[in-house]
Amino acid sequence: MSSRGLLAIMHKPAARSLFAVLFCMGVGLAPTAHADVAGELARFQEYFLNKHPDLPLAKYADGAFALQPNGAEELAALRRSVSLENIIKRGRALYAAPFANGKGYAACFRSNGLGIATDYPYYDVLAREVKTFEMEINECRTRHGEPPYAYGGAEMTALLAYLTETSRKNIITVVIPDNPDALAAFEKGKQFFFARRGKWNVACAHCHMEYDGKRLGDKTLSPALGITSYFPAYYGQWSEVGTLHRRFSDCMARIGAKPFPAQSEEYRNLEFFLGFMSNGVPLSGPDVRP
Amino acid sequence: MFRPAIRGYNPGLPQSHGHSETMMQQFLIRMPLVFLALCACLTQAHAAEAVNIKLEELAAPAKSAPAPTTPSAASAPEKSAEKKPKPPHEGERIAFDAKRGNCLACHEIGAGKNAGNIGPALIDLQRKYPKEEQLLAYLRDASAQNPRTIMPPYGKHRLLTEEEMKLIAEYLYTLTSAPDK
Repeated sequence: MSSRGLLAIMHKPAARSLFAVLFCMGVGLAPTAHADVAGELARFQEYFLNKHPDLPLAKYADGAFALQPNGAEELAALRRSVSLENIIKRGRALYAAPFANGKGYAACFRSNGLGIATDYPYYDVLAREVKTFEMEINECRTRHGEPPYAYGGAEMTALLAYLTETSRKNIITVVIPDNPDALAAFEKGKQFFFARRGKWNVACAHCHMEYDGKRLGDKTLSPALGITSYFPAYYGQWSEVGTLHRRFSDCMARIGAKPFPAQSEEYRNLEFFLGFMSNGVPLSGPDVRP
Repeated sequence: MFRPAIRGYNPGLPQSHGHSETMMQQFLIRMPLVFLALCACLTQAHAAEAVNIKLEELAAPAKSAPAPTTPSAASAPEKSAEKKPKPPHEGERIAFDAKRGNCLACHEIGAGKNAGNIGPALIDLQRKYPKEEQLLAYLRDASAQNPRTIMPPYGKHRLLTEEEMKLIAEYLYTLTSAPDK
């Protein structure tokens, strides 16, 4: 297919999501995705792209703002009023400070850990679990004799904010290796997303798939597509920057379900599912939300 | 069952893949159900809350200025400034309370503030539910009639007592588009 032909069909929503599939299969760093999983990705993205035909895949990085009438202006205004400069600066300092053994994060990650946030989450076939960036940051610390950071704590969030900032605009390319354990983790994440839970008997999919763009109270519901692209994020209700898993727990509390701990297997599998389904969306984190 | 089929999307659960579930997987899949059952059992505290609120109500109306905590309480005086202050219907208080009915999260209702728009505006319900029992049945467990609904099963999950649901139904029937004031 000529590149001009590709550009032409990119105007069709379905073709855009097909492109996302081809993208992650072709550019993927690990073995190609299981055929069923690729088909699921296409169907999942088509659902959103058909529902919001004027919204290109990349705009899903704006979350709920992308679905609001004056969303772009509101997001720009919020970005002006909430500065993320300090937390990024703090994260940069934490990154630059050497460990007691003289080593640093550069010793643990490819590209010194910079610009690689889109590598996560990934399925670690040897460890037989989903690995997130936070997890590997702590694994790096303990390997070099440093105490691990508390998940969701100020240091971890700042470091994550900085490392994510170095990856901004990179395209999400979560890969599912053709491995039964990896597929099982993906399936568990999917189950989690579609299962009703809590006193209020609501599934993630209700708010973030069926009713995305609608308002829950005065807040617009974000689409599940792209939902992993803008974290860590500042939220008005926190008055600070927090992680994706913290946001998962907000939702759980909201529907009257007991939240799981940050970095629990449940949340990591969910992040794996949502990350894969967000393939093709550029990272915009750390970002701001009302 | 515990999988809602989203309108226009079939997630392909649970047997879309060839491999069968291990016992561990089954356990993990069922854990949310156990959770759900536990949650339902552990949330019986509403009766006590309701009593407290009624006591407050008895004490408060004479001087409503000092501590209007909910938006509905705050908006009542301005509306009825010229007329006699009319306390809101008890059903309205329950419906608007985010910790009880929380109906405004999804529905536009009367003068309720910050209403969501997930569900339809709650007006003229007598057209859809001519009998109170029909509306009550929907409040108790909407999913019995519409398995995909996001509407919480207020009775089945003991989010509200039967008495609270009756008060809400009574209040909702007062909301009509016909001008009767």
